[in-house]
Amino acid sequence: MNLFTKNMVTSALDQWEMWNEIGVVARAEFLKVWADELYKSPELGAKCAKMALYQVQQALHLISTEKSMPGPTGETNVLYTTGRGLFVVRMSIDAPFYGVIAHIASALVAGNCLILCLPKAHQILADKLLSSLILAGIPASVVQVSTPEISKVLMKTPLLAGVAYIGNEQECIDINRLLASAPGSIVQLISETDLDKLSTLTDKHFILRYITEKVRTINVTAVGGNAILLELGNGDL
Amino acid sequence: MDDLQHFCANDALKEDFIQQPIEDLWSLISPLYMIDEDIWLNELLPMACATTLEKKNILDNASELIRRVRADKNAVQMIDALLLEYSLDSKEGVLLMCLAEALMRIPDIATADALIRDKLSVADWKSHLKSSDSVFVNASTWGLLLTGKVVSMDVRDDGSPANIISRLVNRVSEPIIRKAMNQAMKIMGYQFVLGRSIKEAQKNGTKFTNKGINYSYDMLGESALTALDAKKYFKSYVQAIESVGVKNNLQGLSKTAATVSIKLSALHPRYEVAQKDRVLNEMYNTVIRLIKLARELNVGLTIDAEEADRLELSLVLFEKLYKSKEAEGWGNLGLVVQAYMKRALPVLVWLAALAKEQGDIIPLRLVKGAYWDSELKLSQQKGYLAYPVYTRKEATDVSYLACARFLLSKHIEGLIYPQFASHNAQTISAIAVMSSHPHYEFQRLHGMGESLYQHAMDMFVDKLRIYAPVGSHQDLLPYLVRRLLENGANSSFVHRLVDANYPVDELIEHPVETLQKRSTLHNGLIPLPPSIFADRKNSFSINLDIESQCIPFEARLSLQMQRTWLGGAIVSGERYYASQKHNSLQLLQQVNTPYDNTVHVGSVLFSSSELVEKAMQSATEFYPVWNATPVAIRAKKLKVLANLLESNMPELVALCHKEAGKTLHDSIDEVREAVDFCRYYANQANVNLASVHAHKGFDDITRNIARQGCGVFVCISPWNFPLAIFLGQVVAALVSGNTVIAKPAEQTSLIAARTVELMLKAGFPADAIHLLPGTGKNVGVQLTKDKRIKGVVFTGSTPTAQLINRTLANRTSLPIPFIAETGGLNAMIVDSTALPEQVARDVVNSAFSSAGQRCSALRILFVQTDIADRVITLIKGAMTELKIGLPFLHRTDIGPVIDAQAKAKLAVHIQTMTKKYKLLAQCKLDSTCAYGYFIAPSMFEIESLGNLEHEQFGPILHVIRYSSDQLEQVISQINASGYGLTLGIHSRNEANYLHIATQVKVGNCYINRDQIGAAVGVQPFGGQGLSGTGPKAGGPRYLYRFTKQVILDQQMMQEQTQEDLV
Repeated sequence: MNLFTKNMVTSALDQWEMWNEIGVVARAEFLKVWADELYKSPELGAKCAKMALYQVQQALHLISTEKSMPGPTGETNVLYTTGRGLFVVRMSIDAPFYGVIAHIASALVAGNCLILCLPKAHQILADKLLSSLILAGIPASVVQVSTPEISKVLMKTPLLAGVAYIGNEQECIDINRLLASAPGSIVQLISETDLDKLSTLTDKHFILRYITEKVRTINVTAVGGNAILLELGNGDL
Repeated sequence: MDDLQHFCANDALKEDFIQQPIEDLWSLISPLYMIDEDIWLNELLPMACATTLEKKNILDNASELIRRVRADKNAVQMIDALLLEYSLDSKEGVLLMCLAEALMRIPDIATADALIRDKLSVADWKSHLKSSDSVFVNASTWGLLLTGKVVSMDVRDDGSPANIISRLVNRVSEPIIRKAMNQAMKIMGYQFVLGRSIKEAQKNGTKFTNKGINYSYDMLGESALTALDAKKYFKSYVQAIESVGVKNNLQGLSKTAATVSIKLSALHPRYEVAQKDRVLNEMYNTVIRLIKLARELNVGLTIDAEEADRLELSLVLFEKLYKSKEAEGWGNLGLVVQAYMKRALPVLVWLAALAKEQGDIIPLRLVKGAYWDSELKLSQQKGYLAYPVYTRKEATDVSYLACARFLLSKHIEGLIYPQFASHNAQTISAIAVMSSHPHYEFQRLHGMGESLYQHAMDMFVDKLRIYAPVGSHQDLLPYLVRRLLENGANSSFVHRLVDANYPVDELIEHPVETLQKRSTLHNGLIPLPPSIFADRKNSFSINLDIESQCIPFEARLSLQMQRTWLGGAIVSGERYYASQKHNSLQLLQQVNTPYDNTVHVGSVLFSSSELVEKAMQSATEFYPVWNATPVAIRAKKLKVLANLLESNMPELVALCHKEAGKTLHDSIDEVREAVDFCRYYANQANVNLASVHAHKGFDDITRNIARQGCGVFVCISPWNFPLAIFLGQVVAALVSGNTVIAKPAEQTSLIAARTVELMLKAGFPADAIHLLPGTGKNVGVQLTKDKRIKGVVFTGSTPTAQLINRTLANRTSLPIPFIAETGGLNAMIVDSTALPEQVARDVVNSAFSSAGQRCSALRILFVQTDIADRVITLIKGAMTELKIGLPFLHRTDIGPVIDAQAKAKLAVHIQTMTKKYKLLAQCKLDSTCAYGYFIAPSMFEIESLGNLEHEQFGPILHVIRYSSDQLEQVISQINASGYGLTLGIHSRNEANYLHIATQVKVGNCYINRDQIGAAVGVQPFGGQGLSGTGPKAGGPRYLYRFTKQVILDQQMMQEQTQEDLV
């Protein structure tokens, strides 16, 4: 991996903490502004904007709030989500661009950072995309642009949390093999090969592929705070 | 509950009732452990009820008493005042108590300052200013207000650091603040504790002893965790008895000579039912020595009450002590009974009979009870059928009065000497009126209810004793504050007594009337343990510490322990088991127990390649049928299975013992988890997968969508949870509409086979679930290579997950869902605000229980240097007390590891660590471990997490010290490991633990408790990075990964509607 790529990864991972911590609602606000930018762009247009907004809406619906889990008294259990880390975004030349937008919007709103490695033929669109993201206020290191060749280098390292892909079946299988052969964690391949219907990307629970779940359990009786139970003891029903 | 039919509570008032054989009276106690609250309260109400005359007298006395207390300007003092102002339902009250609980034990300045900042900067102290009449409280408030203001300056509202001047002020002020806070805590300590030593306590008590009011001294502290601590407490009891004895003998026998209260859990590190033999021998001998000394010096001894599960054990021990030659003829060995326990009355009856039999009076303190919320929590966690305690305060009051009626009745006089501990004017008045004889006394806590009793003594109380904690403030304050927090002093009588606005009529209302006014006798706001989840039944458990529960279960279990099992593949409902003939020798496996390799469990026939193909074909063909089966029908089968598992618990527990080497508690928990998975996933499927939704897509078109299974799912499960994880995976895949081929761990195929038999019995179609026992190399690889499989769920090691992932990727087909839950290098971070005893207990449990063979188990303990020595000493001491051995015995804490290979691997690690690093402690293995795969729990001190490369799946703990300024480095080390499963944190600093929980990349973070035993639907479980892919098992998002979204056309919609009708 060359120094440039290394720096790109380092700055993405450095930025990730901050991007991840601001929460779904704050990220959704950025992405709504981004959707407006997409609308304004003649190359990207309304379909892309609608797709971005749809994914943001699903995120707000499915992952924006912490879930308080039921359970025995004297303990709080909260289920919440964060992003997974750094994703590479890939597409085949024949894939619809609004499909890539689905990946980007979902990945970002869930709290991930991205390196867009789109085909050379889409370089202009990739640049437009990047400038629209910057215009929307999304920090530069959260989304960066590179090449498909570099993505192959990255896929062999243990630095990636996942790869987002839209395109043909064979390329998908190849990417999957490459990822599986890399050492370290099992890297997520989030792929769409149904280019007509985009059945994966339009799954209403698609956003869940981009998250990791966390649970925080606090024994509240250890330091007091069981007032609710005591109140119940004196209540009536 | 048959016994109950013979025990009418009111019968206890008949003179001849206690003349029954003592064994018969004993047998009345245990069945009441979880009796229906309404049924039993209906029994007690007539006993507690006052006669018309009594009622009038109680009302007159209580009203007058309250009138006098309210007119008394000095009535509200010290603790009463503090608790009144800082009510524990206010944020400030809780924060103050939390600070008091921890501050004095923190050895280092940085952590103490951080804790002060954490607690003081967030509260509204100003609102408490001058609302109290107490000088002490106002002085404290000023201090807290000023302190709160100064510490608040450090951070702006938006969370950014404040300016340099403010920070400078803060830094300059910190030593002053700290000193002031410590001083304030010390002042509080003086209010709670009569003296730091018994001599100081005796001196400080002269104000009352001169008035003829004496004390029961209690050398309070934490329960002993180690033999050394137990010795220390023993010594302090000896000193107390000697000192009290000298004074008692100097004063001559007064009507209430001073006594000493002892807490049994302080005298032995394993005061538990599971260690009954040790309790009845070692602890017996210890207490006998105290009895001998106390008798020689004429000092009464009272044995304190503890948790409900220890009650029966404490009575057995009491009987042995009472009947000993050392106590016989003495009449000064007493005990405490808690009225909030449903068993209180039959306990009193049994004690009275005991006294009648031997002829020695038993002093008995009747209290309302001190562990109410922990009893509720434990029962809910364990899934017991009901609570051992009452759920309403007034129900406890009724029980108290019913017990008092019995104790004060004429035929009990001379058998039991009742000591009524209460700060409630109504209770005091009622007892005085109910008494048929004068041979009883009242007791109050030091620092509380002084004015109440002063006036009560003027009116009708004859004898009073003060229960007084003795010991260093540092030791006692945390204990007392926790008691107060737990007891909810805010709702206590003391508060309402001094509140002039609170109507007297309500204060003096008889608890019988209060209770009868309630809509039900039990408290409907507190659900019973089986009903704590709104949408499903909590899994059921047996309380092995309770005779009435344990004996019938053990009888059923012992039958199962005598048998052997046969197992093998189950394909399309047909069993391909080991038999007398036709076994392929290559595939036949003999199974022996991990705890004794000479004990045969049974035989398993592994699956042939042909069977794998047969299963694959059947599962593939049946998928459309099963997927089309309505979700409600699929879910129903899970619920039927859950009930079957519960009714077959003894057999499944026996299999867990014999095939997996699991201990009794682990085995019961294993079955419970499997049951919870079934019920939870059934509900999740019904809620999330059953119906067709109209959903507006990104293109603004509304479509009808549904979720369906993906096809054939392969479930590969581990041996460490051979039932729960095995079944969790399988039922999740099935209920989602997939057909399943399950490959269990080689080591635990028998449990898996028995489970699939139960699944077939529960009505799962034979072609929907196939079981293929065998090795990963043969069966696993053949399955995961196959293009027909549409998903894999796996739990096991990280390298195996990677291997499966590669095998799947090498297929010439698109990626499929692969859910992997793997291992972890799990850490716990302990800062110096933590309570060392609690830490040690949680560390030992997290690291060593289940022989460390849980994915969640603690591997690396990071402990702040300032308290490291104390914590390590406690862990060492607690390790010495662990019993390693045969897992089916109740007394065993830790069983074997799974097999010879695991043992060898762990042994190599221990050897390497012993050479390279410091071995801090290692448990001893006795002869019972000779024929099994046992590994002695070990603890090493290492320098950094980098010293460990991989997870060691056994009872081996690694300790790393860190200084408070190295916390961020600790977090980085954990994150750098790449694993992210569980994390434990012990800290009283809320900002600190939330920061750690956010920064460390783990799936499950546990704060101020152990880090194992995630409960289904409560703590969804799973990690990130090298620890797994997600989604979390037992969580609300799990089933989605087993399904795909489909868009329904008109035809499909019609079919779906018909299915819904079905």
